[in-house]
Formats: sequence, structure tokens, C-alpha cells
Amino acid sequence: MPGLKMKSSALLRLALSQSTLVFFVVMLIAAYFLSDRFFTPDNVTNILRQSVPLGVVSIGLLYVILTGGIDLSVGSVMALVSVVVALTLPDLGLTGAIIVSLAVGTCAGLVSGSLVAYFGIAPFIATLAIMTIARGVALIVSRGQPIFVDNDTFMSFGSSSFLGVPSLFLVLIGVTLLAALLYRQTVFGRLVIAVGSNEVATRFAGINIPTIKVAVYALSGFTCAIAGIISATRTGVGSPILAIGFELDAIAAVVVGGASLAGGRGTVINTLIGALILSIISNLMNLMDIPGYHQQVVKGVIIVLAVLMESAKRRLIDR
Amino acid sequence: MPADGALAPRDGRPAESRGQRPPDSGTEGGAGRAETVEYAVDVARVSKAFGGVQALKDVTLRVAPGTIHALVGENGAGKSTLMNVLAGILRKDSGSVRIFGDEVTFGKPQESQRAGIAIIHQELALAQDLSVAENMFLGNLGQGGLFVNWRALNRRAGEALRQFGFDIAPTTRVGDLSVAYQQIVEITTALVLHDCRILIMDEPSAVLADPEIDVLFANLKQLRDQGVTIIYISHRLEELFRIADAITVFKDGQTVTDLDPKTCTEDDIIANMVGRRMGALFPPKPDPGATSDVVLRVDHLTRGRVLHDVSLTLHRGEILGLAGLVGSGRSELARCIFGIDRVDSGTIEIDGVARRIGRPAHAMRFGIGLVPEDRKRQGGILPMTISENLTLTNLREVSRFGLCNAAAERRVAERSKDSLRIRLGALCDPLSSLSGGNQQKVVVAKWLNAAGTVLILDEPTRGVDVGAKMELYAIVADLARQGYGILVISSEMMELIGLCHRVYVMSEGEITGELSGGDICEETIMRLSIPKRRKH
Repeated sequence: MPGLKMKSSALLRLALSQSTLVFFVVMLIAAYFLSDRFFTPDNVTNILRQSVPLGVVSIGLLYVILTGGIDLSVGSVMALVSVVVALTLPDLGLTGAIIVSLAVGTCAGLVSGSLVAYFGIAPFIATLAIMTIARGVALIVSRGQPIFVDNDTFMSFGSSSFLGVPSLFLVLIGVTLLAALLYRQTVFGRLVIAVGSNEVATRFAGINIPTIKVAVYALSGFTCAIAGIISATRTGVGSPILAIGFELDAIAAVVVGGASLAGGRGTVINTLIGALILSIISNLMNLMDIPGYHQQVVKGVIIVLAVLMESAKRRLIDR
Repeated sequence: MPADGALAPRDGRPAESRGQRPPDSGTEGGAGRAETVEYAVDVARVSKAFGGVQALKDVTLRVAPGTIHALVGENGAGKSTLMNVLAGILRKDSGSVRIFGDEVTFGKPQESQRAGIAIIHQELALAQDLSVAENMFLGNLGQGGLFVNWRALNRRAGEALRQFGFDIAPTTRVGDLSVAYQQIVEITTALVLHDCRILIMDEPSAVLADPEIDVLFANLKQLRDQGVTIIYISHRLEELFRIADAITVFKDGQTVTDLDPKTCTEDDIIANMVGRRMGALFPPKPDPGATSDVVLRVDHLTRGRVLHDVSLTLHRGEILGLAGLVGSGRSELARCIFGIDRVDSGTIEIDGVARRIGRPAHAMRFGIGLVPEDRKRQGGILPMTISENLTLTNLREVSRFGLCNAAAERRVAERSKDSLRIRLGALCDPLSSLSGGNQQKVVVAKWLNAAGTVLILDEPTRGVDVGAKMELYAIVADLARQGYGILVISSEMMELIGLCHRVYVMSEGEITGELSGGDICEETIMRLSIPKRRKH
């Protein structure tokens, strides 16, 4: 039956091309059988809220990774911003504090980007430096103490819902849509892919590479600022020790989403799914009462599996 | 699998005494072998399909031992597919392959290597920062032990190189060798350490300048005389008459005919490759016209030790050639004009205005385009789509407020496709789906979309088949007619002679001569290219 065979191979191709989504669906099905508390409204809302900071940061980081770079400073910048927003709320009010916070995050990215683009420092090193600097500054300005947020409007946003969907998750959806628009429809998105695919040829085509590079790090800093603000609204504190090790989760989300750390390959939607996958894994393991130490091991194994699947898929498609 | 004879442990000696299974031959070397085994490689009715595409159709190829056998054909004619079958990289669908009389079916490259076949690819697999000896023994540096005995390593490598009469010191850093000598290191490794008797060379001369080719040819002939069988793939037809003992022409996945280089002409080969007689390879040179506007003037340009006091002028509608050996400063000059490298002193004027060109983006703004020498690494972005590549230099025209306009983009891409006759499946296919010649057309078209006045073409027809070459030449002549000033850098002298109004020759970073009209000939270019010995 050649017709049937053709159909199943076409189906396989479709599954392969959407492997991140397939992985996500398989995980949801598994979650249904593993825990009867998983699909309760409370838990789903909880997951949606929890996944927001990781989702937002991963999407910003994706742009850096698309150019072949990396940003290790995301967690520290988030912490710095959460402290800044908590400190400035009383004096500057809601709008002022948010603007200043977004500016602080973006500036951190601008500095990383400039070190990479104009001083030729390797992204790993440049953002490693910014990572410790941002963490240090957060500890200095907070004197090492959590800063409690004193603003009811700000606090209520973290727990509010719109049409039954947590407002915070709507922020993530908005960021995703904007980032996808930037990726697909704009000259900037095109150039980011070009730089990551072949930097030399892009430079030889008369494109100013440093501008693109600075822009992606600034974008990453901007999304970290959003995530920092969101953390403050959810927890009610600006914490200098927030999101330690968060860069690893974010990198994992981007990679699970099928992006290549060599640059040039990866999509916004799949990165969002990657972040959701990681959030769901954590949530599921909590529901199943798996101890924290074990959770780390399981998480690592799942990341390896996802990446192996991705490379197997590459081989199949290329053949 | 080959018979036991071909798998027996080697004694380290080259070519001799293997492949001749009836050991009745008293004479030594290639002459004796030719009598014992009729063919070193005997391919009969081999076919290979990729999906619906029939890459090889009943191909027959017979290569006599101890000869240099050339394969020619346009890109996609099936030469590389057949060689990959011989090298164990691809499996044949049907037909038979005999190596020195033994029927073989290779499942992986190691099996082919064990049967005595080595393939030397155009991209060399050498570690540039290691020495010659280290590269040769890279798979087994310790020779079974834990520590490296450098002296023994160098001695063995030196013996291997001397055995074939190659004059390379085993302690030389590979990156310091010219490409021709690097090829020789790879050949020696294959012959001695992996004990190969059949050498497949895939377009080795494409990356070499003419004097380096002489080095390679002398060494290949020496190997042949020692009994090594060489299958030689090339797009440069004129060189076949210097080196090949037999020529097989491929076309559309089939072998068309065998030719004897002693009796056939270049036109015969071309006629068989394309299935029709070609007129001249080059279009008539466009009339440079009455205007003598200078579009590009380079004055006393100096950069470190690579460029010294270089001056040249390029007029509107002129095709200017830049000849010289690899490393003579031609590409370096192009890089400086295009703002990739900094200059120490000197000026560059474009349309009569002195400009400081700090980076390619500036060069582009001033109307200069560059088609770089390395198409895959510098010219095109292979994973991106054809239309994305075409519009990369011209994003302003296809976007508004930073948003891409798909309709405008398609219009620009279609225009490029039609004007340069780019053959492609769909504009949204990746650039990597195109043949070399069509990829190059995309890179050229990209610069036409940028609407400049000066176009620099660095080795524009490297690794491109004859048909596409002719088309590219016609395009260049056409662009000159439209008013572009065109600077062509080429290692193929015939290309410069056939295409250019004037030719500058460079040697050791200096311009050593300017030729025009009938003075442009191989002898003069060669004489001016050869470096003079420097006095200390």
C-alpha cells in the first residue's frame, strides 16, 4: 500500500518539524496520567503564573542566541531590577518606577552588547562579568536585604486575572507576539538570523554587525527587566538574591525549544513552548512529591533527551 | 568486500606488488602491473538515484592502472556521485565495481580505504597549527604508546615524504605551507600511512594559482610513474592536456565518451560536455565608450607588508583585470578597497571624491560591491532563502518603517532571477539548494540590487562549470555595458585575457605591470607575476 506509506511518512515529517510541540503534548498527556491534581483550574493557573518570568527571559535570550551569542547575566539583571522597582516605587510612583526599571535592565544589556560588539570580548566572558556586577549592585543598593513593595496597585496586578487568565500570563503572550512579529516581519529579525547564520557574509553585504549585536543584548536586558518587575509583583519583594542560576533554566528553555547555540536557528513560539515544558516539569514533580534534589537530576535528563531528539531530527531531515 | 589479497597487512612500501594477484610479473612498478590486471577501477552499469532524481544511469568507467584519468562534466553531471560511491560515502543502487579485478560493495569509507582508495577533497582536512608530521600521524600520535616520540614521528614522516620525492620538512607548520604543498601532505598521508593505490582528486587545482598547479602536476606525474592510479576531476579543461592520460566526459548522470588527450581538442571536450558545439567561451568585449570617467582611483595604497604603494584607476564601463599569484596582494587590495582591512596610507577616490572606507557598510554606501573569493563562507548565506540573500544589500527598498514588505521583496527577487537567468526551484528555497554557478549569480545579483558603480569580483568562476562560466562572463560584459566599472581578480589567465580591457599584474604586494589590448598574454602576465628575489 504505497499510498498509506506515503501518508505515514508525511505525518512523521510533520511530527519531526514540530517536534517541540509534539514533546509538549506528550508531556501534557503524561502529566494527566501521573497526577490527578495536574489539570485542576488552580494548578493550571499556577503553572501559567510561574512560567511567565522564564518565558519572557527565554524569548529575549533567544535573540542573543540566534546571533551565536549567549547572555549569562539574565538572572542577576532580574534581581537588580526587582530591587530597583521596589526601591523606586514609593518616590516615583507606578509609571516612574516601571520606566526606570526597564531602563536599568536595558542599560545592563547595552553594556554587555557594547563589550561584545565594540571591544570584541567573547559573549560568555562579557556577560559573566555583567552577571556578577549586576548581582553586586543589587546587593549594594538593597544592603543585602529584601525590599518590601509598598504599593497596592502594583501588588494586585500580580494576582489579578482577565477573563479567567492571569494578567501576568497575558504579559507573556504579549511579549511572545511582539517578539514573533520582530522575528518574522522586520528587517531587524532578518538581520539577526543573517548574523547568526553567517556573520562574515553578512558583514560583506554591508551590514553593520555591531549595531545588531548591541541591539540583541539590549533586548535581552529589556526582557529581564520585565521579568524582574513581574517577580516583584508576584512575591511582593525586590530581592537581591532572586533568580540565582536562572540563566541555566533560560538557556535550557531555548535549547529545548530547538534553537541552535551556534546561532541562526530557533523560533519564538518554540522557545515559549520550551519554557512551558520546563515549568510543567517542575510543577509536575512538585505534585508528585519528588524531593528537590531528585528534581534537578530529572530536569537535567529531560533536557538531554530533548536535545538528543532535536539532533536526531536534524539528521533525519537532512538525509 | 575485497578479497584477502587486498586486505593483507601492508609493509609500508608504496604501490608496488599489490593488486596483482597472479604474482607472475617479474618487472617492477606500473609497467608490470598493467599486464597483470587490466583495470585498476572497473565500473560497469552503475546506477544511483536520490529520491526521484537519477544521479547515475548505467555508468561505465574503466581506469587503467598507473594512469592519470580525468573526469570532466558540468556540475551535477554525476562525477562527484560516482566518486562518492567509490569512496564508500554513498551506496550504489545497482551495477558492479571492481577494484583491481575484485568485485566490491563499499558500505562505509573505511572499507574503501582498506581496498586502497583515497579521496582528496578540495577542502583539506588538515590542522593548520600542527606540524606536517603531526598531521600525518594525527590518528595515532603516540604510535600505540602514551607519549609522543617527536623524533621518531618526524623521521617516519620525513621518510614517507622522501619516498615519493616530496621536498617538505616534516616539522613545518602546515599553515605555513602553500595550498599545493598542503595537498601533497594529504596525498602522502593517504598513500603511505593508509597504503592507498588509487587516488581520487576532486578539483585540486581550483584552489591553486598557476605556479602551484605546476608543483602539483609534477608531483602527480611522479606518483603515476611509481604506479599510483589517479582519478582527476577538474573544470579547467586546458590543464587536462598537460596531465591526463585519458579523459572521460560525464553528462546528465551518464558517461558520454572517452577521449584521448593526445588527439582531441578543448572544443571536442566542451562539445561532449554540453552536447553541442560552443562558440567562443567569452562574449565580445564591450566598447568602453568615449567617456573616460574614473569611477575608482587608488593612490599609493600601503598596508603592512601585504600591499606596497599600489595605485590603479578604473573607468566607467571598463573591465579591469587583476592578475597575480595567490598571496600576491590581489584579494588584500580588494579587501582594503571594500573596507574589510585598514590601510596604513594612501587614498581611495570614488567618482572623483576621496573617501575613507572603514568598513564594508561604508564601501556599500559609496557604491562599491564585492563578490568575495569564498562563495560559501563570505559570499552567500547558505541556510537562508534565495530571496533573503538577494535583498540583503537592499533591505531599504523592500521594507517600510523596519517592516519587511513581502510583495516588494518578491518583486526585487524576481527581477534578479530574470535578469541574471538564475535557475532555481522556488525563491523561498535555501541558497544551498542551488548549484555553484547559480549561487554565484545570486551573490552577483545581490550587489546589482544595491545599485553601485563599482563591482569587484574575486575569483568569480571558481568551482563553476563551463556552462555557468559562459553565462557569468556574459553577465560581466553586460554590466560593463550598463556602466559599471568592474575589477576582476582571477587566477585563470585565460579568463583575464578573454574578458578584460586592461590587466594589472601584482607580485609581492606591488603592481608590477599594466597591460592592455593585445599586450595581455599569458607569457607577459606570468613573467610579471613571478616574485623577484629580494636583496637583503
